[in-house]
Amino acid sequence: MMKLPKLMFLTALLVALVAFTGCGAPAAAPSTGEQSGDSAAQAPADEQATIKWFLRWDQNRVDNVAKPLIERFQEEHPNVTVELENIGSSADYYTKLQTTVAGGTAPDVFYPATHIAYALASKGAILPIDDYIARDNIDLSQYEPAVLDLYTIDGKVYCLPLDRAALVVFYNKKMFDEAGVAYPQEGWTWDDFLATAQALTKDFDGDGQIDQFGVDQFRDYWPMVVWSNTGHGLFDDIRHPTKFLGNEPEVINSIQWVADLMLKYQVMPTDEQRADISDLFAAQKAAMQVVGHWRIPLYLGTEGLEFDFAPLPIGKFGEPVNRADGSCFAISAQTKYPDIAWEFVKFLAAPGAEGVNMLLNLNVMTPALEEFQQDERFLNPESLPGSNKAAFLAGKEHLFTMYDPIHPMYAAFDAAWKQELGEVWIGAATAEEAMARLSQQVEEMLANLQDYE
Amino acid sequence: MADSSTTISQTPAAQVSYVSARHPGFKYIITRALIYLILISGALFIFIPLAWTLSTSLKTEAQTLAYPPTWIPNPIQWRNYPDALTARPFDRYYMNTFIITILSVIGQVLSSSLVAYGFARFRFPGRNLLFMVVLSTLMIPFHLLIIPRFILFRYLGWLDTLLPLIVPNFFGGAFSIFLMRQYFQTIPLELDEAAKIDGANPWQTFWQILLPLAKPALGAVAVFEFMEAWQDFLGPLIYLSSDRNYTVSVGLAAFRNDYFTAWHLYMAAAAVAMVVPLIVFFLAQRYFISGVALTGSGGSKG
Repeated sequence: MMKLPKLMFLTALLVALVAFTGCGAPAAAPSTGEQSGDSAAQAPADEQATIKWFLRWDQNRVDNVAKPLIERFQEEHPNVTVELENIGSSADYYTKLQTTVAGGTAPDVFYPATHIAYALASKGAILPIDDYIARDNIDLSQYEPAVLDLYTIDGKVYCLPLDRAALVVFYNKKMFDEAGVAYPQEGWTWDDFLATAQALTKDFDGDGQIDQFGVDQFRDYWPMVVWSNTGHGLFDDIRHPTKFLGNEPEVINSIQWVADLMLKYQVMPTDEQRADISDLFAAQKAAMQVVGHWRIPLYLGTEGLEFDFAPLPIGKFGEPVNRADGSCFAISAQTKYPDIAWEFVKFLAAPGAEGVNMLLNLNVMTPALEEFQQDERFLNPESLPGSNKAAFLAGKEHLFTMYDPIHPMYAAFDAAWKQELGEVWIGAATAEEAMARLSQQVEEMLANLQDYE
Repeated sequence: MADSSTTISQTPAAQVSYVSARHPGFKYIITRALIYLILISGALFIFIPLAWTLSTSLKTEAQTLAYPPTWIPNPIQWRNYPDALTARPFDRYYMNTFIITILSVIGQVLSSSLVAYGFARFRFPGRNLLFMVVLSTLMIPFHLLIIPRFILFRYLGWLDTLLPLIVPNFFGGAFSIFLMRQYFQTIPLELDEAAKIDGANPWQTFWQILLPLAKPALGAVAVFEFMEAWQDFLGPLIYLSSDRNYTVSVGLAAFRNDYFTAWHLYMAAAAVAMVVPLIVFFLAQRYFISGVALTGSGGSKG
């Protein structure tokens, strides 16, 4: 029996070794492998090339943008076939992406979110595109600087950003009218927000059960309340974190305030009250919703729902803030056809790109390119006449990322805060207690930062 | 409690058991009632998600958003079923899932029983060590194996085919081997010896004597493997990339994305996907339970 643990240890070690070399191989030598025979590996104009595009879009975007885009691109490049694989749920998408990257069969072009792009790029799985940007004179100043910065490591750009995940407050105009509450005004504060939410939380039949909530749940966006009250994120330096700022009193107060919306003021539903309803605003049971552009098609499709947008409330920091994250198009370091992949990425997300152009009509995103942010189809879309679309651009001067820090330790930090704040959301701990415990864990991570690299 | 114990203590012990078997006493009825109450509430509790699936599968999209959630769909929308099943090529997905499941079950049953026969009936150097190695593979988390296996199948050129989901089953599974070996060991060795005297070689002994006797264990292995192959999601997700090769579980995931989930269609498709395992479970319940009883822990695999 003594042999068993030792044996298991050895087996596990062997497996881990295989897994690691698997991860390392593509990073160290991007263009080696079974295809190294055809040297530069670029298909001549008359040769057929197939590139794979791996997406995580909803069916609406796939049918109305992705498929027509592929058709048009193939018309312009008759020797190229673009194969689309779409997996809508990000968890599944990233499981598959990471497996194929490690297994050496990564898709040529893929669509990662900020922290995943960072993680992949820092492992060498993404092709840096500076040379192409210089060759084709891509004007990088066209991109929202804070978003582009997220896709830059050591001065090298490795991904072309498509959108920014700006947040706004959606509000149900009918509910405001019925309750006699004024529509949110530019420059409103979190105090105004709470008062508004309280005025809109109703128990119509007097049975003690809330029939209409002031706001649907948005507690996963708690960092946003922290930024607006403090003007900073959770770490002192987003790329080289040395200090955790989560134990500052103002951070703790902001988190407690979010929890109190559920527990004390009861203007926002708890998990229990929410059951599995995917969107209380669409169900017309919540008067406000804090979310991004991507929810608009759902709300437009909901009969009788009249809504408009308000910028995020202002906190003690005194200036509007917003979220810098977004998604981008990346080229795999393993691609056989980097030139073709680049042409395709350019087609999707470069200034003036066909991809962004087509996406504008769907009303699903806030573009990362300034020219498209000022486009009439973005600001005054036909489907939303007279609405305050400019709210999505509020806070541009102070953008923060949800994935703070942009460092490989993020995964560990993410798990830790979810664990600790989970207690706060159900009222089992105060924000102060939870953040004290979290700080302790984070200090340990910061002390052993090299373990994550 | 005190009253009944005094009355019982006055009668001889043997008579008590005889009497209580013939004329169920008050205490007996209470215990039975309690057991049934617990069983029924347990069954109801387990039935809730199933009922919710069926209820949601008949709602309109607007109703899936109703707050507070309602149990009875109004109006009942049968259209969800054809809508869901034609939204993606589910006929194709079902065909793939059937192929994978049936071949996996055959592979698992054949190979595991053969390997288990070796472990149960032959003496050879290193047998126990080898068996321990087989068992220790149970302790390696599946997630650790994803990438090495993916690389292996890539070298074999099997990516985006059904082979990675079928072929490994022809090399046995640790749990099935363990289960079969334990069962073979309960079959008296004298049977093998008698067969040998009658002139049977080891292969004939296995095929004609042991295997027919091991039907309950074979059934258990088959049922476990069936369930596993049918509901496998991660494997097909990783190894398959074109639509025509997808399985039902991967097809189901298409109704969910980060932006919105079409719960009514999702649940309709899920309800249909559930029918086959439910039928198999009802038909093969006996084997399932015997499998659990055989090892004392059926949950470790299913």
